[in-house]
Amino acid sequence: MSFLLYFKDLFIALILRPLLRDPFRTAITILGVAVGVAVFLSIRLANQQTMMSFTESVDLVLGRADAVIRVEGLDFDETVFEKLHTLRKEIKAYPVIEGYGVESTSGEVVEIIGTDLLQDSGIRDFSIKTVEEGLKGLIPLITDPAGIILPEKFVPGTRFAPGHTIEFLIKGKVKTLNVNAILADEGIAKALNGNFALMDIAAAQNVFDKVGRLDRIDIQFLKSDDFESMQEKIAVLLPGHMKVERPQRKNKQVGKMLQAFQYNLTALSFVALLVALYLIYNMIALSVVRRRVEIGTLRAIGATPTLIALIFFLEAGVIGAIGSVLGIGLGYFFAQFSLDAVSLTVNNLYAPSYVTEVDFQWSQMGPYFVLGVGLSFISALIPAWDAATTPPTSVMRRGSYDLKLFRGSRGLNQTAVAVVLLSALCTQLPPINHFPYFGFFSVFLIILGLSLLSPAVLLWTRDQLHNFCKNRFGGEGLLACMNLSQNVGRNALAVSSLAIAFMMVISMSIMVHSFRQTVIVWIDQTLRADLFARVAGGRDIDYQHTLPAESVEKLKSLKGIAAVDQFRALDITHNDLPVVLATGDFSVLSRYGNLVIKSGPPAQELARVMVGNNKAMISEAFSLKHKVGMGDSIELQTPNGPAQMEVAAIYFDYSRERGYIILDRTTFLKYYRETAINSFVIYLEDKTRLDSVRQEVLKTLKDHRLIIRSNSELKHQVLEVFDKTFAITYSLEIIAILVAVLGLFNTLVSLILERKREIGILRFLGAFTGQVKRMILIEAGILGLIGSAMGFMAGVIVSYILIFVINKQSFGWTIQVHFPALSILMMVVLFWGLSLLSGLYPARLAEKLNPKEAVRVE
Amino acid sequence: MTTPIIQFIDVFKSYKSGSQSVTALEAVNLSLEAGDFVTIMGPSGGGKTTLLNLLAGLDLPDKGQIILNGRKISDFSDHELTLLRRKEIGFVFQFFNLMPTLTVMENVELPLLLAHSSRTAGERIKALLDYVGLWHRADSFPAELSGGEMQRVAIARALVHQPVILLADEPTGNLDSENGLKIIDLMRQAATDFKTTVVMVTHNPQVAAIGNRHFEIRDGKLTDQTA
Repeated sequence: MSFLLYFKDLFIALILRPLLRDPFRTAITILGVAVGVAVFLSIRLANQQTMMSFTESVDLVLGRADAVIRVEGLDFDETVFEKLHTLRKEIKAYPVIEGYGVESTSGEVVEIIGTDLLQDSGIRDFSIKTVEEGLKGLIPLITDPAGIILPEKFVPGTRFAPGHTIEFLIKGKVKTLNVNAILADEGIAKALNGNFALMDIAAAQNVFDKVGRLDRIDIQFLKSDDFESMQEKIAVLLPGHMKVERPQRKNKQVGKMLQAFQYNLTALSFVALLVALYLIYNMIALSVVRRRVEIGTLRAIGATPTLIALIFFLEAGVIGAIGSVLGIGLGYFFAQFSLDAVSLTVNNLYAPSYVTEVDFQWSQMGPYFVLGVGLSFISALIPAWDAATTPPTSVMRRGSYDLKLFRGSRGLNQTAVAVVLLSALCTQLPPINHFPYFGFFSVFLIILGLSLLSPAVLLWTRDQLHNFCKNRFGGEGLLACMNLSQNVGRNALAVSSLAIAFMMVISMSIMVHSFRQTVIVWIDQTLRADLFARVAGGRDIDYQHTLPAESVEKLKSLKGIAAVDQFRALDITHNDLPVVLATGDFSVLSRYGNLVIKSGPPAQELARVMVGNNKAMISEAFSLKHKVGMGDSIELQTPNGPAQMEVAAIYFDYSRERGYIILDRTTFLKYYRETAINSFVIYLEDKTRLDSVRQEVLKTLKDHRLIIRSNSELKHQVLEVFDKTFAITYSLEIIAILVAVLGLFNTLVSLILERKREIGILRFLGAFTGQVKRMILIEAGILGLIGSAMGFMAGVIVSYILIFVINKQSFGWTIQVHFPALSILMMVVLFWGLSLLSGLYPARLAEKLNPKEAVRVE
Repeated sequence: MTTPIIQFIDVFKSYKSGSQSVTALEAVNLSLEAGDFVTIMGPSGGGKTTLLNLLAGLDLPDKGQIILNGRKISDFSDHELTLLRRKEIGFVFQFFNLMPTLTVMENVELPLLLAHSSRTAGERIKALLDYVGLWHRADSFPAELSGGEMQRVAIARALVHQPVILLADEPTGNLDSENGLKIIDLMRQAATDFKTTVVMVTHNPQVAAIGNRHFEIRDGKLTDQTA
């Protein structure tokens, strides 16, 4: 106990009081750490929440199923269900209809599940609150062909009660359903964040036009737990194209799909944390310098080097702990914003996501606290080591620190070159499990190389700017320039953190701009049709909503229409990864449309190759992910049995990262016998008749609600989605830059505090206060210039790694490099301006120093 | 009788130390002629540094007048005081106070660079470094010099703008006695060669005895001890 009291006194005297002596800088350092931790945490929370919402919803919807029977992307005949009867002693089967509808008052997409309500509680947890008690209440649930049950917490903002009617837009048609009961807020009712509804299977078949069809059969094993043996037994009873899967498979697939996107975002958010750590290093390094006499005294009266190191470690720990706690609190607020951005991208590119709120638990924040504090300790390593190992006499002798001068280090430069070369080597290595680990490592090595090179760059810049600064700015210019080699460790780290933040901005800008330009060129070349139509009430991301092809056939005879191309897509898997199997009319495409072909015949000749043949065209992303090339064969499990498709062409596509396999419609119909379509495009004979044809189409297909976009409208929408997708990356970059500028600000304040005496001497030697101020601003300008120049160069290199390694390996997209010259120039100027701005307060601080006090300080 | 170069007329200066007011200088009167080599001795806290600060225009008196080269500097603005230091005053400190990042030559050139008047000064700097015997170390950094060498560079820096007054605050305090004597010799020589009035604060009676005028300051009161 007495030890604790003794420790408490020491802690207050040696750690807390020194921190409180400089409250402003302590606060800034804590703020920097807090922002770094908050950004990292918010992205992790948003990613976890998105993934968790999938997992939980899938688990709730699948209930206690041990296996799931389905056909990829298609429904199937319900007679299959009867066949399972032979296994009734070993399994229990639950038929399911899955569908989506847009609730008309809220506009929200709702997943509607149809199950056998009398049986289903055996596999799924739910509790139905009916209007009337007992059987009387249950009867309408089963007998009403338009009955629906809503969860207690249905889509926010809606208020439905039993007895109400509810309208859904399903497959382009408005369906009015009767709310017959409410699901108590437990079990399945919690799925999909309220965007969920339950129907009896017969009613669901009716509403979704799937009479006699099923989407899924959930299976419960009654005796054996051995999935493989049961899978085998069930599979024997089923047609070959039907799959018996583990229920977790869907989660795993979503996880795999989101992995690259989420890792990329996490890596980006880590930059802010990395930059924030520099702030702690800086604070501790300055503390060591300022307290050198104290260190010497402590050593002289018997303190061990370990105790000295401990003082500074604890100082870092206190900052890290307070910063981390604040960061965790701040992270909760950031997370909501991040979640919106992440969900938007996931919804647009991957799978429907319904998550709206961050599930934040302080009890789960331990790892982030440990991360923040642990990294703070690491950043204090060098200064604490420095303090502990310097002999007390040297520490106490005046001037011994001030005269330390860095002359460059050949070893450091050679290591930097070796690190950069290793980074180049890493870019040549393949992905592991479709993930570019080496690509990320290569960026990390660039960051490391940049940090190792920065002392040499400082010295080089000092030599290059020496005459210019001296002749242009006189004594203050010369000093500002030559000061680059004083406290070179601190200056180098300030420059590195600026460079790293700026590198991320530049590289992401080049990557995003290149990607955007590539997409613009691609959509200009690919989207040739005049009108694009799809059924209302679904999302672009899934292919749940279909139109009967016969209705669309009628359009071909309309005046002014040159051709109609019908599109159908199914979500299937290949090598256990999700893929889109799509079909189109190649005879129309070759004549009127276009595709940008990577390998194979030009689009105009594709009809000759594809129509009527077992040929497939694949997207570049599919080709890279599955290592499939021209002439290779792809096996498809079709309702008509397995079919081998030879790859006849590979084309560029930037719409789905999971990749496409495309068949001609004739081939698709032959194997899948599925005539319904998801969307169609119209080529006009006379483009001036666009509006009248649009009206004609709507009139002809008046039974279905359609969304029809013109060519320019669709292109505009594609770019809008693109820009929204990358909005979060810009936010992360801006935060990293602000933390880095905070770092520069802190560095300059530290340098002034360290150089009080020098500044005082300058005033003795006849320098005006304005000259002192100018000296600091010139120094801020030079540091900002070096940071932006290094960041720019590294940014260009990293943009190539992002485009040709990380993106290519993560998503399989070929992006043409385009430099956003003007915006880069503006960013360099802005960044430099920010660096200068960060020097304003320190410059004022220097200006106000009392010279005689400053000199007497020693 | 010539006009005094430095005159203190009934100068008072006090400081706040906590809640108390401490008198640093009390009714100080002083008159120095051009070319004087003045030494001031006294215990710590006696007012030596305050006197130097007032002379340098780094501080203003509470009461009384300071006249330097015929001008009443106690009425000067900060700008005028800075110009005064830049043109007419040279400093030598106990701890040399060279700029660690500048070479010997650049350190000497610094006052001129601050005044933006260094373009024609190359020869002058060379001559000064020759004078203090360090031209061969012109490209060295302070960290590469000995204490004595650093102080010689500091003297060269103090003389580069040809000041009327050279103020020295314990210039030998951080040197061994041999080097200390060499520095004093150099300063005395410089005072003669450059026709500069030297005001030197010291703790060392041996050094103090070298001046042609000698003062003692104790409890803020200055007394002329010139024999």
